[in-house]
Amino acid sequence: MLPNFRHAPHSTKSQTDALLKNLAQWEQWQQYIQLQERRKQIPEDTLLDYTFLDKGLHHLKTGFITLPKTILRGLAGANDFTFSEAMLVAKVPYYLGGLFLIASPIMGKNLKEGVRQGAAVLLYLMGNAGSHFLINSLYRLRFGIDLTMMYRSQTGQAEQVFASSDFPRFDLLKPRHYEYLARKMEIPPETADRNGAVRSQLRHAITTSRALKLVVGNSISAIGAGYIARSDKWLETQKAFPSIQGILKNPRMSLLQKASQSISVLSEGLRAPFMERLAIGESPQWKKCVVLGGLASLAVTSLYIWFRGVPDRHYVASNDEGPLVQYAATHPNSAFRQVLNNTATPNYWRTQP
Amino acid sequence: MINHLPPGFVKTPKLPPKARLATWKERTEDNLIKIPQAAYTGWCAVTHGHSKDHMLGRLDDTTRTLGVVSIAGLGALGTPEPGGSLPLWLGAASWLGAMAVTPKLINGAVYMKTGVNLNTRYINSNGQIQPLFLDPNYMPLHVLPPEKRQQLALRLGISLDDSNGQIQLKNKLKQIAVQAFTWWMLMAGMATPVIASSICDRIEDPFKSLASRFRQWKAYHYQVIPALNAPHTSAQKLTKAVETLLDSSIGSGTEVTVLSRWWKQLPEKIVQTLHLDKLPQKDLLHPSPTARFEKVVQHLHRQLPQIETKANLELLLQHKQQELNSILSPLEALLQHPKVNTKIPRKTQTLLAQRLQLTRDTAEATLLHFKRLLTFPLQSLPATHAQAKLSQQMEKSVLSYALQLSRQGKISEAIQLSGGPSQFQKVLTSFTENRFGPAFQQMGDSPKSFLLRALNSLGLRHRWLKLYPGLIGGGMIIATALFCTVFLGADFNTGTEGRKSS
Repeated sequence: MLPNFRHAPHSTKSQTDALLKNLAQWEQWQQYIQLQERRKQIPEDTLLDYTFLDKGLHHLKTGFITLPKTILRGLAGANDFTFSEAMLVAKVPYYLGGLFLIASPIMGKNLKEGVRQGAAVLLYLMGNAGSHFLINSLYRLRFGIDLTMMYRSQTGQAEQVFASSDFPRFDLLKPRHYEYLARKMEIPPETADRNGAVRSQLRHAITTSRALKLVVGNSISAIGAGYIARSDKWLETQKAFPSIQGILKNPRMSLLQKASQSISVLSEGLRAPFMERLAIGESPQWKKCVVLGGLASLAVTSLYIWFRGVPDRHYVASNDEGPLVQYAATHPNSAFRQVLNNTATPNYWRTQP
Repeated sequence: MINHLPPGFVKTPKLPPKARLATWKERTEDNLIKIPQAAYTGWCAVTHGHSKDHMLGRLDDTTRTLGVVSIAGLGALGTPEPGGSLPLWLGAASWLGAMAVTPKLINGAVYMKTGVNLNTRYINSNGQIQPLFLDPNYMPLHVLPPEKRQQLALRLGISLDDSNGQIQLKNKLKQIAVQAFTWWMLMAGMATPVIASSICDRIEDPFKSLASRFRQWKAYHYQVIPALNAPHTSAQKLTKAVETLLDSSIGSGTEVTVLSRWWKQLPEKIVQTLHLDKLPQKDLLHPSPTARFEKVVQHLHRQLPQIETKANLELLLQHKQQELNSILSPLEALLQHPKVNTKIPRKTQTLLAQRLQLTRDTAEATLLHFKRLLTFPLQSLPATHAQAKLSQQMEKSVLSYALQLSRQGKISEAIQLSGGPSQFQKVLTSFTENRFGPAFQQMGDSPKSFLLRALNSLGLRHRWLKLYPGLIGGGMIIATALFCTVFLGADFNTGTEGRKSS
């Protein structure tokens, strides 16, 4: 609606005022339209349907491209440095410290200790990744919860959907996700607010899985890595390299044979320290306790996730009136009753502050 | 259904925010008591399915601490000798200490440069104590008093009179917090091992001395004294008590006894007194032991004629002798105690007395070897000859043992030994060690092997000190200082470009 300027020169004061008012309204309207257009341009958070391979590539990219960039941004003190970026930078000490722990004995010309430290650090990182993978897989297999689900944020970062239990991104889940999860979690279809039940169970799964990763996964991999790396047999693993060289230089063998032979030699070499520490038939009591205790706690964790990963809940059917409604029904003059029966008068609402 | 309730049906009290800065006492209480409590509550909340993010954070911290402690504990299970697990516990404690100290050091540097104390913590409305600058996206700066904010703004060159002065201050503080956090994360991996090992190096010796004294005190007060004071004590109990006391004072196979501390300190003190620690590092760690020994002899040839060195060495040896007496004499007196004398079987008594005698003889023989250096006539001989004699003197001497035997009245054995060192060695090697083992021990350590071992470990320690706390720690300190002076709080073009491309 364009303002009419025909009578502008002859207009009275009131007419001018009205015109100015219209102009102001016009500007406001234009601003509103611009804002709407700008809002359309802002990218939304989108779910990423990454496969196993994609996730591996994503981890590589995070390690070698995103992390250095984030560190540079952090060193410059970027004003839009997010909490998830801080969490990414917080992983640096584990890798840098691990490298430094391996390098320290080697700098002191103690190769033996260096090899054992290297085994310990590698085993810890591998054990950590392995335990996280185990817990995630169990949740995915049993309840269909993909805890590693990621989304692309407005700022272009790939972030975890279920990173936090206080603010999980349930808004990104599609109806098909809810349907699948409810089916896997065995929530009856006639449940009142079935999606809400799914969300409640998801929250539980997020916290439980995170706590189990922290308490069981990290500590068991740390203790186990320290225990297995204590073996002196790690020094003998380097004997496998000359024989592998011999296999690779052998002209009579095919490429496949070479690969299989060298893998078998390497695994034979790596088996010795594991067998030395894990064969506990005649070892002292404490060794048995460590090995069996570690394996038992892993097994208990797996069983716990399988049977108690999400708790048993009493799902209320949609036609079932809850206890609060039943209670309110016993008091015919209560505000509940008035609201339920649509008998609440306007006068009643007006009396409230 | 709750949405259909009339407004005001549920009355929520609106309380004023109670957030304020935490006092020192509250912070300490939080660290020591509330965090473990919160971890426990967090674990309970997890099992009941209503935990929150901050609970998991607390759980993470506590799990890390417990992990370090449990690794030390499992290592301690593998060390059967008493006191063998002490280094593990000290290592765990200093590792945790280093983890706590590293951010404090970096924050100290930040404080010196910008006046911002990143260690500041506040109590929020729920009564939880949280670091003020932990999450730069949520910094409730209103808990800082206005004067403090004004002071910070002055220091950072921001005027709060501007309309967006507070926002500028907040952005600057956010930048500094992010920079300090990133620097901490880059340093932590290296700083923690360096600081932890430095702390261990400092506290290991005093703690081992304390632990050895405690072991002895415990055996004396809880085993020997009750056994002696009780009206009717069985011989078995008394024997066990005395043996425990001997084990905890002079037992072998562990470093946590009073006597092993004495043995540990003897070469260190001698090396200090003879100024051998001032030898260059390449001499101390020379690959060939003969070359190393030559350097030591040359050094001693220069040092020993000096009266001051000689007097110091004599004093040291006297002092060590007194210390040895103070360790062994009470034990010898205990064996003469009437109750011990009558109750314990004669054979056991003899064995215990022999054990004490052997210990005393070994120690005194070593002291004797060093005492002979005091009376060595260096000035009267030409230089090369004197050095050769000195190196001979520092070898393990058969003569000293023969002298000792003759002093004890075992003349025939002494005569048998006087055939010469080569023959003696031959005899010793041809016999089983069961017979001549005590003899070897009783002869004490020769100054050569004693000093060479001490110098080797000293050289290794010097190298470690130079490389680890010196080079790496110093490098980190210099890098932190440079970072703080050049980059901290400087203006950069930090847009979202760096992040967009990922």
